[in-house]
Amino acid sequence: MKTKLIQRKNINQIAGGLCFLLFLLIASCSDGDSPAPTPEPETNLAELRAAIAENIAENYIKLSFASLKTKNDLFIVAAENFTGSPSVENLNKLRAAHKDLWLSWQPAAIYQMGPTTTNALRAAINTYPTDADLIESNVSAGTWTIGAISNRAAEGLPAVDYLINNTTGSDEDIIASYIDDSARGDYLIGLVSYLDTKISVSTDQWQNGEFINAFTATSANGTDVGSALGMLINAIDLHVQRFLRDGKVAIPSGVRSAGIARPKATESYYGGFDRELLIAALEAYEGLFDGGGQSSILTYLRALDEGDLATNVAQQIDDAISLSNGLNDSFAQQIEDDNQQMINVFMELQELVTLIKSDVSSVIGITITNQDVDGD
Amino acid sequence: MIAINKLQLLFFLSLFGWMSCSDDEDPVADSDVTFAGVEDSYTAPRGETISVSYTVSADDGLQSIVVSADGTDTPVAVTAGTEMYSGTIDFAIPGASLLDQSYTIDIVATDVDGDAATISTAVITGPVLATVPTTYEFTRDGASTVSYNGQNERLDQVAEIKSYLQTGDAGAALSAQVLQDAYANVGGDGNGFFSFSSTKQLEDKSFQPDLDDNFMSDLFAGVEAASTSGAIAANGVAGLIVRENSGNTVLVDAHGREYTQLIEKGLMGTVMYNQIYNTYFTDARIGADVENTEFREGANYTDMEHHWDEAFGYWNPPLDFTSDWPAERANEDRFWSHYSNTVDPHLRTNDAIMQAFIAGRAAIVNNDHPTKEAQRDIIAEQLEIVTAGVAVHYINSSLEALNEAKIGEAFHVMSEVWTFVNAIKYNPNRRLSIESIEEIKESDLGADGNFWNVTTDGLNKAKNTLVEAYPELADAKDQL
Repeated sequence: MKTKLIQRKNINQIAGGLCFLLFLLIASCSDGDSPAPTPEPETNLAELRAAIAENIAENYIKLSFASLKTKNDLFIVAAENFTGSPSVENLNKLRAAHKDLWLSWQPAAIYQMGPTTTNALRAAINTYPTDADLIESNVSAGTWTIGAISNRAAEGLPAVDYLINNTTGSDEDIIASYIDDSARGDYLIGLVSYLDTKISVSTDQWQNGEFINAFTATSANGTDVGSALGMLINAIDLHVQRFLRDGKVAIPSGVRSAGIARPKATESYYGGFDRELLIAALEAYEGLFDGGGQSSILTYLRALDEGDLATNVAQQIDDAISLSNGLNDSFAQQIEDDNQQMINVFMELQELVTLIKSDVSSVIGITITNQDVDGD
Repeated sequence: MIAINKLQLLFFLSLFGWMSCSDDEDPVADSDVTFAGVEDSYTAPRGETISVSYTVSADDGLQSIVVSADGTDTPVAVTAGTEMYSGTIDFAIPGASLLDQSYTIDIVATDVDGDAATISTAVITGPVLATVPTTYEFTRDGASTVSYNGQNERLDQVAEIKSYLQTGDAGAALSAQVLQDAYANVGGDGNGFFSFSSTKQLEDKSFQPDLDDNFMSDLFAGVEAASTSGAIAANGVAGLIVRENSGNTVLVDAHGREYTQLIEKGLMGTVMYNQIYNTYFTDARIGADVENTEFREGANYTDMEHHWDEAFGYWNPPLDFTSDWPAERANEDRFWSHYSNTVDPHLRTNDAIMQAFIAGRAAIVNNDHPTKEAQRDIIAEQLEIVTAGVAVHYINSSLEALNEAKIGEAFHVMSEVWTFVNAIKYNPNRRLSIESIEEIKESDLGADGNFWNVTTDGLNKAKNTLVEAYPELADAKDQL
């Protein structure tokens, strides 16, 4: 980690030394077909930005949401089967469908803009830590208002995680709790239905709505805050900081709470597949930046004669994935066993945040508008 | 507008006759009396004196010359039989003259044979300020004529009231009586509340229906109760709620509405915005009948100039405010001008409003009522676009906060939406109906006027309502 920090600094300064030689080696390997070191004319860059928006809209955003919708439909069936007929087999099918849906959210979650924001989709799907007490008090009261903001922490996939993966008893105990009290199944179905509404509306808008059409319009091929690239980089900046770095790693590991870890604030505290969720998110970034052989953010950096930065970003995501692969499936367990490994991953993610927030945005000329201050 | 009167009719007729006479090839051109040296027209600002020099020649000798200036005949002493006479007419353009107002001067000369000729010219009221300044700075004899200390003092009072409310957000107990004394400025310093003395108060400048409904006093009572209850806010319970981004708390009412925002922005509406529209932009303050010639006693400005400045004072920008206002001078705009700057990157309202205020003030100096009224209408429209634009901006922020599942942040920005939408009602020519304003406040921001019931559908509906009423916002509705 320390070596790496130095390396990046040296690259930026084009200084000599071993690290620089190492960089040259990497750059020459991965940048074999890079363009001549003269920046592209602006008209070509505008066309390239339009091509990036088109590729990302068609092959990343729309496909991510199509997959989310498909997994959601399977999840509904599994939930109805389970509540209609609680059994270990149906419980496990529901668990699998729930996990599939949660994994499919990771690539879609990157796009913190447009229909996702206007429908508050992220909060509906993935507000955690979930409030187990509120879930239980809803179920025992037999009355609730799903969709009310005061109930937000008792909804979404983390709430379902609690309802189907709570490990205080055996699977048979879980099944018995649904048989004994139909309110529990009703609540589960209520959560699933609300998710379905939110996902369906958002997906429709993402597939063919005002926002995505404007995103790919020629008029959005600039670099101002309202341009496709401007919105995308801001959405990524928000997601990488708040949901990838902070939500998945920094908050549970205690980086945001004076070093006091919060294992119950992990994403899938009950199901314990936090590592898969994190890696799904990082791999989604890897694919998005690369562009699958088509125009992408990294292609654009190279067109700006910033091949070093493109290499750094790709390498940074790779490094974060490598290090995350060594973590326990359950981050609560990892925190208990060796929280330093969580903090190490946090530091890799922090590097990624810096690259995107400072280097990528300034090289492309994007103003980052996300702010954490109160303002007035 | 130029009034066509008999004199002008005469002027045109005379001019026509004179032109015919002066034409050598005209078969009837055989007058014995001719004029020289008179221009077609003269232009000078109101209050100034124009000198019209002329020469009359009469082959047979002059008998008499009569000057008729703006209908007043004055004979000129001329020795009978003189063949050539040169004279000067001094004409003082009245101080109350309107821009472009025209005065006719006729010179009628008669020769000893009784042949007469007339020449007419026009004295036109020109602008005192030939060019509109680029900043809101107006002077007479080197001294500024701009004054709005009363507005500055009221804005300072609002700022100090806000600071007090923020101590309540941080957990201190607040007093309704302290707030009421500040609002009414009891004893010239809010009963010891303000850090400065002033004869001005906020309460007597508030929108009368708001006073009838106890708009502010109910909020004062509510914030005292919330600040002393020690309660944590919940649906139906007023108290403290955490703003997730900073970790700071704010006081909200039982419906989740933040008191500091409701009171501060409420004062921006019920006092500042209300005063601009319902006091200073009325004909009673800046209409054509308002004094605009004589100076106010002890001052170097007219009533009309001062009233316009007071409207400007409630907008309160730096005097050289422009679009693309530099970030390093961000602390120089206040309240409404600050919010203009918030939406300026998308709506260019800084320039639109600032230039209209400057052009309108210059028009008043020039006694140009049509231009002044046109600028007033621009400001009235643009201020409302700022208000609606800021409301959309905060709806977008509300959606972002809800997407991040941050209730305290959402309630903070929703409180801003509530107050800015509410302010639209103070414009008598508002584009958004009272029904739509109420619908946004009492339903779209949460059923039963309760923020705890908010949905993204409600917020998106409110946004659509605003964008439909203000198509100017359409292109930037998602970027605001």
